[in-house]
Amino acid sequence: MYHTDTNDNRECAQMRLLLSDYLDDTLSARQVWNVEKHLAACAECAALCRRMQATVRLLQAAPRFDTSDNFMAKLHARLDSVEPERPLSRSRLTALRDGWAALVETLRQRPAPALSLGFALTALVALLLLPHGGAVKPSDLPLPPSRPTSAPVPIAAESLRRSVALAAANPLDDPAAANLEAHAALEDAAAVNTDAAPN
Amino acid sequence: MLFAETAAMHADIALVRRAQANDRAAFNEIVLRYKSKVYNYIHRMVPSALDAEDLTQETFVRAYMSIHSFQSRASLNTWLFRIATNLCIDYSRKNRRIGDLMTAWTPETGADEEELEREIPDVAFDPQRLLLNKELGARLDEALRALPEKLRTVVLLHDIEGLPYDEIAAIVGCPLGTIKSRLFNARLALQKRLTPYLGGLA
Repeated sequence: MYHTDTNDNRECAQMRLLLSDYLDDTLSARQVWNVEKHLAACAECAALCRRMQATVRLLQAAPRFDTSDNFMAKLHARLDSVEPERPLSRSRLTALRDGWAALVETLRQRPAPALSLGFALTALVALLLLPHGGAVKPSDLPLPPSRPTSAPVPIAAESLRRSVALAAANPLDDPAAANLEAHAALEDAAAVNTDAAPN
Repeated sequence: MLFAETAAMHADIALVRRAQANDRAAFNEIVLRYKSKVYNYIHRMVPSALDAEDLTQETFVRAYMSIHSFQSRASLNTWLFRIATNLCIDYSRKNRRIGDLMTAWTPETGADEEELEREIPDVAFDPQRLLLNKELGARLDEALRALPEKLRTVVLLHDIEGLPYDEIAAIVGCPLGTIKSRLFNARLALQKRLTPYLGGLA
């Protein structure tokens, strides 16, 4: 939004952005070295730095203003007509809320530990809320609808029958065809018995 | 320095505790300790000295009314300046005039070209000597008032009130990077306006 001189080269633009921090002595040693090296070589930036420094000193020496003589009297007259707002009695929920707000403020200032704590809290909540510590036993799963597990899907069984019949027609080509035919016959018998059984 | 600051902070907390227990004398002591700082800040945030004093009083009235909600998470200084800053923002919103918008600062404006023609006093740079000149003080205040409010807030809190970056960030409610950026832009704008008065250093 606010721009330095558009004619400055890139290094000047970068160095100028550091001038304010340089004056406040908040740069790293390396940054200070880079800025001072540039200022030694660039007259324009050096002049800007001097002007900014002079401006800061002027601000620091600016005259201070104070309140009028009757400020305190007028203030206390106003305070006499108001009452401090009393907080509601601290319920446990309020105490928890205030404690949480304080924790959030502290962690906001320190994001790295906040992430670690966040993961730890998430894991703790999962352990507390999920049954069996989060592990799901197969017995907890809902059972599928009751049906004979050996009962084949009708279409698949018919397809199997055709394949077996085809293979059985040429037993020399498929030695296992006889066994398959026998197996399919047993399954058909089982399916018939199941359908006939009461539910 | 650190010990003195810590001792002052503990003293503030003790005063707040007593004020929260309805000790009016303790709150009076708080006002005496902070009224000058708060007023000096507000005085350069609003155009009228009368309004500045009224807003300073309002700052302490609000602090008095909400003293029980102060929980020492922030320092008393931060808390009071935050109340003052919010009051100044509300004041500006209510009293914004077209004229204020016309004098808003932009770096590309040529409005300062006439001022560059003014005679530059040929004195060795000494802030105290320069500020004995009332006109220079007036020019400084004029330059500050020409800054957009967000930039002015930061430069007043840092360069005049001497508050550190992190405390200003807590007062204004912005990230540290934003505070640094605003301070840089404020100083850049001020030095441009004040160049004719900086003793030939430009």
